[in-house]
Amino acid sequence: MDTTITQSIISVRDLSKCYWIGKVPFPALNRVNLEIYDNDFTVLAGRSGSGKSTLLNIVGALESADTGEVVVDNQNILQMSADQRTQFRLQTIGFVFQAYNLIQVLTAQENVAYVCRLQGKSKLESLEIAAHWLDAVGLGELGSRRPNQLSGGQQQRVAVARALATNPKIVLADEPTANLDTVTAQKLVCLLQKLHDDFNTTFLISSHDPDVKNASSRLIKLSDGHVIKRWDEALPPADPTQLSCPIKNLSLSQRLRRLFEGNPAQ
Amino acid sequence: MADTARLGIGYYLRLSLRNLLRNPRRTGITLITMVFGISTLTLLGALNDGWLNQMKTNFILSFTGHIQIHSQGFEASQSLQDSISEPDEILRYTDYAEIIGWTLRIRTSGLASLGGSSAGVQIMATDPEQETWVTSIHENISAGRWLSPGMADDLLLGRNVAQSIGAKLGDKIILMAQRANGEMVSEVFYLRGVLATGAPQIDRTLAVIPLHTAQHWLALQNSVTDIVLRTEHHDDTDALHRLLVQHLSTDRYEILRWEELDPMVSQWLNFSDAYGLVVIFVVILLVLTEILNTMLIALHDRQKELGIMVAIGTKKSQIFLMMMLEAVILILLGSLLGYLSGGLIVYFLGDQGIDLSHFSNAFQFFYMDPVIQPLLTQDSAIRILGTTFVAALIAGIYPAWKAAQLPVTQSIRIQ
Repeated sequence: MDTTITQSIISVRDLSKCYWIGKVPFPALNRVNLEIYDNDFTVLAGRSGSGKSTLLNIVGALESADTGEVVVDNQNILQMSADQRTQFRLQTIGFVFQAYNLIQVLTAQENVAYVCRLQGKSKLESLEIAAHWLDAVGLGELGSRRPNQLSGGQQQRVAVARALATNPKIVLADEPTANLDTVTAQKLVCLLQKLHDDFNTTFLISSHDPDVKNASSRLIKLSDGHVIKRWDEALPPADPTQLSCPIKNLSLSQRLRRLFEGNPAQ
Repeated sequence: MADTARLGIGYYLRLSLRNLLRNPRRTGITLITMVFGISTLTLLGALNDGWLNQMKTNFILSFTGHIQIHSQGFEASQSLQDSISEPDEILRYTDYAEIIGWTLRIRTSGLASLGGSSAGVQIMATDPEQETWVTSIHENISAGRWLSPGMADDLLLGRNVAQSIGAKLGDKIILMAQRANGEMVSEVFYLRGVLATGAPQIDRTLAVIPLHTAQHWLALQNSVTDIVLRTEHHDDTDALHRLLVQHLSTDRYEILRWEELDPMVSQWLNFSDAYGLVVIFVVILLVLTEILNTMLIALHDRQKELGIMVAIGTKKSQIFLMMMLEAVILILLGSLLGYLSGGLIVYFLGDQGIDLSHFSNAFQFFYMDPVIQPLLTQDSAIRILGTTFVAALIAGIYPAWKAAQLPVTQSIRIQ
């Protein structure tokens, strides 16, 4: 895996955000500065309430900030209008949320194709792309199933496929393993890492799951809205074997099939 | 940045339809409520229209016709001095396609006497043949027969008049009236028929005699007081009225529509119309509340999903469209099924009607038939479906707008 730092794709400067409940302020981020580099696999770690999700939401143009500057893919996202932010998310970001993040009335394939349709692609092309990505996450045969016919792990894999289907520059994942059992969570992390390796996409993941942290090439720890630690180059390249993924030398599809083989419910 | 987030309305239609089906019980209950409401509204509307139409028809056909032409001032004076001396001048306009019947009349006050009894009457002299083309008064004979052409001394009396003077068929009745010059004259007639319409102005006061007899008796020569016209449809009245006003001198003639001839009946019809609107308003309010409730519950249930849709690139306008389409599909289905159900009930009731003959005396007073036959009209369909649609659309706008304004990050966090 090439972990060479190329250039910053996310640049956060003096970012502050405070929530108010009535007249009581709850500072979520306090003058945060950080850089995320192209093709990085970065994990934001920290306890619940440390500001991970808020930071992810602001970087993903889902939320505004009180002060500071956030430049993502050379675009100052805090100065964008609501419509511009929507377009930005559609074109630049792929999202994986904690759980239940699929559209319940669409099949797995339609869920993935939906974002392609939003991008203006034709129905046929969108379905082809969706089939490709479902295959890539090992769910090629379950495309016609609705979310309620899939396990939690399978639903998260569909969400990963959807996140990558728009060919985004950055994938943001907010606690993607929080609602999964340990084995399924490990396999999902392994999947994210493989996809990162194969498709050279920048991943920014918030998590306090040790397996996710182990998989990261960079780790940023937040506490009470501050960046308290960062390991920019200290972490060795992640080894999938540590994550029970002895599949490194296989093709992506083969690896994924093998990865989830024997336990299709995950 | 290119605006590529375009999806056809067909896509959102399918999405909306699937969303409605994700909770079939809730959608079903909403639909049933709508169908019940709209079908009830349709039935009530049809009954209202049915009896209003019957009332209008009975009023027009029992006596007044659709339009009456008088000499200017006659309606107020009721004097023979205000008669039309050259009716032929007006009759040349009776070729208009809207007119299917006309008759000439003389109306004046008088006294009917039999032996020592007498009663004030409203004398109506008419052409026995022509009158049958304009009104149905000849069909409301409880005893005897209608005026016979050529029988100059025929007389028909309203039921109550006949009773008050104790007249029987064949009795010799003396009518007394005042000529235009003020001279009091009397004439002998023979009672040939008794009228029983239920309408007080006829049963309690009317005395019907042949037109030519009256013209001779009252020294009116060819003059008449009324030219009464009947149109093919009630709705033709206004158009014909406009036409006549254009061609006839309103200085010389007063051209009155049926609603101007008896303001009380007209007011009653307007009141009934207003009552119908109140019923529509109440039912629409219920439908609107139901739609609003359903959509708000759906919004609550799907807040997380909607938040995620916005997060992954769906525009707020697309969320609004999707939610509106759900409301529109519900409204369309509910309205159409409701109207069809109501229409079917009206269809099955159509022939026999609703028999309220128990209250027939009260009904006759208002020119109503004791059997109400519901009537589905294009106007009521537009009124019911149009109002429901617009109202329900308004009810759908709020949840759709609220859906489009959902705070994305808060929505996503919902477990």
